[in-house]
Amino acid sequence: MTMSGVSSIITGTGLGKTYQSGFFSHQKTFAVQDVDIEIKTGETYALVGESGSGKTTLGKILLKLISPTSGRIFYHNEDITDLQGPELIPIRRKMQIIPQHPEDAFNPRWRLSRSIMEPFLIHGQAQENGGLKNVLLELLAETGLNPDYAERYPHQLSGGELQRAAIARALALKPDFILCDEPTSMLDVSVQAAIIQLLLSLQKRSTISLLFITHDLKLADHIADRVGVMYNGHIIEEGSGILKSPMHPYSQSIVRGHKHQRPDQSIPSHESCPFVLQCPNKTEKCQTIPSVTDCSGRKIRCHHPFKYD
Amino acid sequence: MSSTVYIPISDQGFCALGMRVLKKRPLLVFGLIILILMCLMAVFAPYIAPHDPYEQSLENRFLPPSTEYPLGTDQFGRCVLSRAIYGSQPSLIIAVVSTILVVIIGLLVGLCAGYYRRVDGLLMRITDIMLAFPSMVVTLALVGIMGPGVPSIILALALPGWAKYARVVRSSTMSIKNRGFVESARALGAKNRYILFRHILPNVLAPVMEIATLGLGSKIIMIAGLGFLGLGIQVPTPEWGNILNQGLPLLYKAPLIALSAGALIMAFVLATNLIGSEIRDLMDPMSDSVKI
Repeated sequence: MTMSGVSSIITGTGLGKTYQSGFFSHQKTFAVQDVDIEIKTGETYALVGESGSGKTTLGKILLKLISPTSGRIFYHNEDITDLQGPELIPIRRKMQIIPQHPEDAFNPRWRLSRSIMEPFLIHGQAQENGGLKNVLLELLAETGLNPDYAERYPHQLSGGELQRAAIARALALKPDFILCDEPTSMLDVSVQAAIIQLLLSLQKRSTISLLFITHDLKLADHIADRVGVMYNGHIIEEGSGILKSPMHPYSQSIVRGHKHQRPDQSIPSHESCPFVLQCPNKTEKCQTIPSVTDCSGRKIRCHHPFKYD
Repeated sequence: MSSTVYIPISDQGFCALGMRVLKKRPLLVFGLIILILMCLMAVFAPYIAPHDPYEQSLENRFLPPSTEYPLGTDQFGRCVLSRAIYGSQPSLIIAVVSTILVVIIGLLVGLCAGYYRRVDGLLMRITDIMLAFPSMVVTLALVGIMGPGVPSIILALALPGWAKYARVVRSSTMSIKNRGFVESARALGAKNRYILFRHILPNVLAPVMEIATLGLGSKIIMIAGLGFLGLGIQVPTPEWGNILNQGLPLLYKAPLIALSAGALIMAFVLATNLIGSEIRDLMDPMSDSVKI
């Protein structure tokens, strides 16, 4: 599983997640449908799309926080789809999450020092070698937090400080893959820039792969090596430079800032193009599901992608 | 790198901490003082009581309060104060042990039902069945089957009581298990047991402790009710309920018999209610009381 000579850290093939609800109706919601994704070592991959397009679900599937309904997950080419319990622990140490809501990411009864050092507590390393105080101070320094904050409770810190603390906790076990689930969406603009800079500088220093989930196309284009655009549970376009030259009609319309009706997720889109109902360029051919094709260095799921000269 | 850290509560001077708690939460301190005094009274009853509570003397029937008998004597010439003091022992033991039992059962059932969806349906239907029966009727039936006595009264009070705790714990567990810090712990590789006991349990304890302290008071009233019906601790063993039962027909002749037990029951219920209403605030990490 390599691409351009760089090994992949995490790969998903044919991933799908269907939720079933209702005692009698058994209504289904197709959150993720037939997604192939590959994230390379040291790469920043941004997933963009509107709310409800399946970005977070896909991220959590890759992290094994949600079990996929279909498809396989590979970590360093090892199939981890069916791993459970103790078999998964070594992989858990290497894959971390930075949550969307920093104020919800910490146990309100714990001081920050305990929360940041929780990875060591979970993995039974809390009493080892007595050097943990130094590790805590290093993590705080690395994420730009005042050491005084270690003894504070989460409600005594601001959103930006908590997000830094969440990054410190995610870094504690020296992971090689971090899922950043809209880490800046709840922060104000000046703090957003600082958090992004922190993430990028950390990534440069330790070659961590980042899966960056965001609504913000400009941010995605700025920080990511590759961007995947999600719509109705599918990745409909993937590659670099999407903001400048979007090829899928959906990517073009979100770059222009158009709003869309939320697709009906109770209908599986394995028979027609997922964007067919709202596509301005639809033809008869669009009643069949397009396969993913390579087009000018992009992976695109469309019968009529726009071609730039 | 040097760091100035917050002084943990345990490192602060005990007297200074006590004064700060008293200043911020006088009702809590008042409730605790009453509760502690009552516990001390139960434990040191043989040293405090002026007379043997079983000692009868027909010559001394219905004596008014005096220095020898501070609250007078009852119809058998027994010291009313001594009986009220000794009566705290079975009342407090039954109330405390049965409350601990219902809290433990309610916590276990509620945590399992809220966290593990597979057992939720089964455990909650059992809980619904327990809730469907009026608790006093179940208690009366169980005491009737097992016979009066401390262990049977404890069981009879605990068996119908756990269901409401289980309901509260379940709903709190279901909301906490979807919080970000639980998901982060899971992503870090935490096992279910770790998540349940380190993250979820401490966060569901506040409402449980509040109900439990309020429940202590209601348990005392139930024990007194059982004693009043003749199903509680049997005479001549002193217990607040049966003292009240014996004193009521004599309310005009020797009012202090019923009033002594009644006042102690009222004081205990008042103390537990005060503590219960304060404890939720005290256990809330967002409250200023954490920083006392």
